[in-house]
Amino acid sequence: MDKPSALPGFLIGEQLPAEVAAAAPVDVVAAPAYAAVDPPADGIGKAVPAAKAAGRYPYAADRPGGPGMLYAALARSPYPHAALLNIDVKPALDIPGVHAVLAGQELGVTAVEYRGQCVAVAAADHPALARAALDAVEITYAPGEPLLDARQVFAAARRTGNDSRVAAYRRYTLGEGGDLAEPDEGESTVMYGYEFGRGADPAAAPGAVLAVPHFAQDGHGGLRLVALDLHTACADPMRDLRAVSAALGLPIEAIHLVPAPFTGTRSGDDPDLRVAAALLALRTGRPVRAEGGPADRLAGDAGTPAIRVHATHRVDAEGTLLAVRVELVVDGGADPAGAEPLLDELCRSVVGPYRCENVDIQGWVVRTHNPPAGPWPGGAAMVAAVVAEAQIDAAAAACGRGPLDLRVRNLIRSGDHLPDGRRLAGAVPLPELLTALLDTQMPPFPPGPDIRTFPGTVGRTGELTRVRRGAGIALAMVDLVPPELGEEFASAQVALTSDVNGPIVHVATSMVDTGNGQHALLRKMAREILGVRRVIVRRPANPADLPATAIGPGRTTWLHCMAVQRAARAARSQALAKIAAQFAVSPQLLEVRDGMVVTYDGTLSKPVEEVYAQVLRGAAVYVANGEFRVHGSGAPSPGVFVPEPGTAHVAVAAYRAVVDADTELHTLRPVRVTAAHDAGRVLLPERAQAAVGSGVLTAVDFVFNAQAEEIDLAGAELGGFGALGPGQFPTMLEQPELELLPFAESSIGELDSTMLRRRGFAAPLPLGYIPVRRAAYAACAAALACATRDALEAHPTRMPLRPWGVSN
Amino acid sequence: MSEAHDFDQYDFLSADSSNELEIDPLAGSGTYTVVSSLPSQVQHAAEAVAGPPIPPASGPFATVSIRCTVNGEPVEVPEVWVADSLLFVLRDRLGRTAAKDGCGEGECGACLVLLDGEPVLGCLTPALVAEGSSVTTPEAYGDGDEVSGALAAHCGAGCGYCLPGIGLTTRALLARQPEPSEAAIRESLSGHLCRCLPPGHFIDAVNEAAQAVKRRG
Amino acid sequence: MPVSTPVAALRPTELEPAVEALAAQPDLCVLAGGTELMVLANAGRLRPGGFLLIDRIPELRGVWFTEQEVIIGAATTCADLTHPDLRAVLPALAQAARAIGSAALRTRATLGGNLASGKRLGGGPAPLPGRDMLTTLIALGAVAVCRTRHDWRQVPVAGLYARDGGVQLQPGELITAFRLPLGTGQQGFMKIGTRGGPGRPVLTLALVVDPSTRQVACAIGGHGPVPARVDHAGQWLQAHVDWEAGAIPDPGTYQTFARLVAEGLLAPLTAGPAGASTSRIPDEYRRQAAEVCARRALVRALPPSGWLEQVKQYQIKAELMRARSAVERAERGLPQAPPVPGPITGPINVPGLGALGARTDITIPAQGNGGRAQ
Repeated sequence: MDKPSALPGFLIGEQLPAEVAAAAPVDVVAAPAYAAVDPPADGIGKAVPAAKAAGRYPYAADRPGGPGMLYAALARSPYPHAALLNIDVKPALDIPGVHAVLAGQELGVTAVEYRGQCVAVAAADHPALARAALDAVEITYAPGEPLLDARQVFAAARRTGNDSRVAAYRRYTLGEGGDLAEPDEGESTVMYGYEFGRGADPAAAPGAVLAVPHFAQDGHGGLRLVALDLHTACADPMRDLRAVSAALGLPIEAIHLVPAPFTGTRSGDDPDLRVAAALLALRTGRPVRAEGGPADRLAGDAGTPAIRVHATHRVDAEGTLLAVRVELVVDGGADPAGAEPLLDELCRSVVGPYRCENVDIQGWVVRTHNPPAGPWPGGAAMVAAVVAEAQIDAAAAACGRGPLDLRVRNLIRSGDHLPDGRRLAGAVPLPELLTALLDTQMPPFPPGPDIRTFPGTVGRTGELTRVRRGAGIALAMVDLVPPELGEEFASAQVALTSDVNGPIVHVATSMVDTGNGQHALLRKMAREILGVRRVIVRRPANPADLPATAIGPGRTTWLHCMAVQRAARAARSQALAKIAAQFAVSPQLLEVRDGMVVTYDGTLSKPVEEVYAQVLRGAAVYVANGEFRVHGSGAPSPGVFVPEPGTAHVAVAAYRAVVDADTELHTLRPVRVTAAHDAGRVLLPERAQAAVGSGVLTAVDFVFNAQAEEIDLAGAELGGFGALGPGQFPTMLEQPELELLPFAESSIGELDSTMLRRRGFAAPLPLGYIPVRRAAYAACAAALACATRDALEAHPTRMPLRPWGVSN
Repeated sequence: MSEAHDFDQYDFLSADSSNELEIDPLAGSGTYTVVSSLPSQVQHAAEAVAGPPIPPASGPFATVSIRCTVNGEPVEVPEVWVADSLLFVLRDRLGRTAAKDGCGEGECGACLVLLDGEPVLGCLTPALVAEGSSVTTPEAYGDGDEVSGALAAHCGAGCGYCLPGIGLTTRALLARQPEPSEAAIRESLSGHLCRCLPPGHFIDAVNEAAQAVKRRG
Repeated sequence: MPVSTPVAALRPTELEPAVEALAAQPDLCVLAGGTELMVLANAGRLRPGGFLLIDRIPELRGVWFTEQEVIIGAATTCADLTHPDLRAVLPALAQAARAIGSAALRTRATLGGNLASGKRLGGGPAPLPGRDMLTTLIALGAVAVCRTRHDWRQVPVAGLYARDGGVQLQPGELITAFRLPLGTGQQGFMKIGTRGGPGRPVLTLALVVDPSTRQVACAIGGHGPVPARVDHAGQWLQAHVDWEAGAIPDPGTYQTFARLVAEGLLAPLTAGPAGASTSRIPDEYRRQAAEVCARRALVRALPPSGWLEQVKQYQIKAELMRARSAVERAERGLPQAPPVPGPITGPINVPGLGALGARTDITIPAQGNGGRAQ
């Protein structure tokens, strides 16, 4: 295919003027008017950050709904467990300005399974009217006895042998298992139970969904639904589309999901909001906006399971880890299916980055009447890291050695076995990270004289003579390709062509740019391979044009980058076929490096402008498709990545946190977090740094968040209000400064992998893929907990840490 | 008048009293009055700004009409529910969406706007209050000034939801303290919850904006 | 009950029309800053029949000084209260105002609104209000001035509340001002919040020590809807202060006072209407925290002899260490972030504090893995 006659239809879109392009994120506008951002320089771009700072970046809540738009409101059950006896929506519909009320069966709800379950929705001309309508809906509940404590449910299941509420079970053993026999002479055993509260939702804004129905004449004087536009924050349009389509009973083709930028780092909008907006838009035939309010946020957001971990570690006198036994219970809430991957990851990684030959890990998910266990931010790695590091600290204290000593002694290395039996593949540069970390300086002590630098800040409780500083080091290891992973698949299309301004590359991808610069990564990738500065990245209007499966968290960027890489290489081979013939090499052996087209060995070269001027003459177009697949297991083939059987790829990080604690009041102030990461290979430094920052902030939020529910139970029981906000997140007054050490890049270049192969190790992941955010979240949370322990000389086992719960 | 003393004067924590004077970089302006008479004897201040009583309407969802200026442009919004927030009117009635709808409870600061030059939370300010006042939203600045530029450069990798509000707070801070200390920056911005980036990014951005403003003179 | 011509919104510029409107239409929702009512309105839990805006009434906003007292209008905002002039006279009030919400919230939030927040007389249930300013006002002995159309009354601020924390205002009644006696001596406010930085209170404490009247007043709040004045502790302390010297002769006094204050919390203040605790924060923590805060507040107000000098020397030492490390760092050509100062030998010997039964924990971590030298 030397000279395709034309671009495929979905690649042709009018390029918007820069001004419009800057205002609209890449995914906003419906077909055919694509918005495209072509930043002047590398990095995450300039237009989008400028639009964000000026308030022009259109989040879902900012999208104009058009004339006649209605506001939706959601009524949520005050009972965790109840039958719906009777629902009367008539009084609500009688209120002028209320257009539709749906309740109970119409929403597919016959019984309440958790507090805050959506039982009725209303659409009205004004948000206050919609809420008034819901207050007028008469619902008769028959409350049942709720099961809210996962531990009680689990204990009851064990006692009675009735495991109908146990939704999942995992067990991993290595060696002789976690032997709990009487410790021998010189050995010591540490045993602690850890509790994790529901993770804080790190969203910056309530969910906002805008549903816009489009109708056409059906030829019989009536209207026929043509399409439903659904504006919502989403990272994985295909998965969300399927979920919405199933909930509405509409074919996938009829729903046009328009991804909106993310706010904060949440994993997507509340499905309740999407379904409510869509159903009400279909019922009324008008655009409907649904926004989560304070009441929705507490109860209805996809929650996170509470986790209990009981861990026993045995070490010998030198501090070598002899055996680990862990039992853990995950509260799966009303829909425990979502907690199964969490359980699996937790069980596989709860030993942490330490080698231990005797391991016995069991975990259960139980179903309760709590909100469904949604995706825990950053997966289970945070919980695993907090437990593992706390146990290592406790073991170090028990055998009278330093915590760092114990970590180094038991450090896992490439080739060691994980609890599930897989060997660690690739580089595990934890020693290097630790060394870099220990070379850094501690922040100055004591704090002050400004009262704001003390624990307690403007509360003025801080006292110089009662401040104790603690430092904690924590390591974290995140499993990248779990063994049970089904097929994940992404595709891309790259077209190399030219216009009046010279060569230009069009990249079509199914990946959503959630506002964090995902498309900038693809631009960088295409730019590197093709040597063309101008790259435009778009999503096709019809997602089916570029098939992709649902992709697990953290892997989306990797898969799409790989798909673009493969497509761009194929396009390059096409375009350089003639030059290859001149050089008498295969086109696959040509590369573009530093503005030159060179052969793989660098012996022959030609300026890239010259080459492109020649091959792109007459607006020639070189189009190539690329796809990339990942399997947890199976047979590898070109374009499909499968880890070598029995191997595991991990991301690692080493963190040190410094926390000042008030020794009497136990108020805490994190001072500094020092981070050392293996990022594999850094494509966009700004993006990687932001990912680490976001992970660190999520960890700080989780560890030090005091949910207002703690403060005012009475208010909360009055229907969810009174718990002001999702939690009392630390403000900038007490967030720690982040010192990010230069990224270690363990997988740069082919050389490393060749050398590793010679030494008998598996190669690093293609592209050197290592997500840093999850490792940052895990390591930072663990380090903050370790530092708090150090500062208070106590072993708090409940997370988040509260001043009133840290001193055992 | 007798003297009372703050603890601070005896408190080693504020041996450096300059730190304490930065109590509240955004604290109220000249609205605080000191007169020597009792309230009952106070003269009715002629300069007290006040619009005429808002015309009554009736019904369970009584509405009023509101006139004010937004970014210098006079606007009239009919049929505003008495309990509508200023933020709702700005965003949903006037289409000025730069001030963001965050928590609705005064926690997050995303909705910050200026009411007669004072920073207020749009979500907790009734739209009624804006009657006869001038409202400034982040749109008034666009991305043309130093603060927007610095925020975009340092904090653009986050989701950006908090940035318009932080921009307004930063401008108010720099107007009062051209070279704020780190603690002052942290305290001023503590009313904004950023969920994406650690504070270092914002401190860098404010410092850069302060330098740029200073260079401009 | 609504009268024949209900008003949707009224924004008088004088007090008289305001109380007249309130008399004519007692269900009018009085709104000063709106920072609490709008939270309810945004959540769909408040649908007022009409609003009476009192933010443009000059009689209600401002501060007036007389020979004996300070009078603060009820609609004076928290931002106004942090003004340096007022801060010089009523530092505890300024400190309390600073720990409320964010700066932008404080430009609207008012003193009267903070006190009148929460449950109303005969009103429905409401979330537990913060009422941080109330702790200070109670310690200062403030009196609230309330107006109706034809009448007015004065009541100590604590008298505004029912036992369950509901605000006891008569129909048509408006809080117009607070009268605070002008005192001498030291006063201060402390707050343990749910986070560092402004936030919801776990415990608030205000202490006022006035040598001219030889009075000590302490109030603690945050544990329930209404802060409590711990009179017995104050009265006990009055007898144990050497007022001539302005000092406390017996070092054991600090701890005893703190214990007395904490005992004031032993009453089931966190009990809700049904007698059950409304908070998950253990009473034991609150009790301990109250004790610690009371002791620290008293040490700051009436420091033990020699204490200030010791602390100042320590402060100077810390300053020197910071400077030295900055110089060292500059010599090594390293940017900013100064290194750890070398371990100092502690604990520092603070006379008086040892007798308080508390350790002095000054720990300087060494470089590297947070190793600690004491």
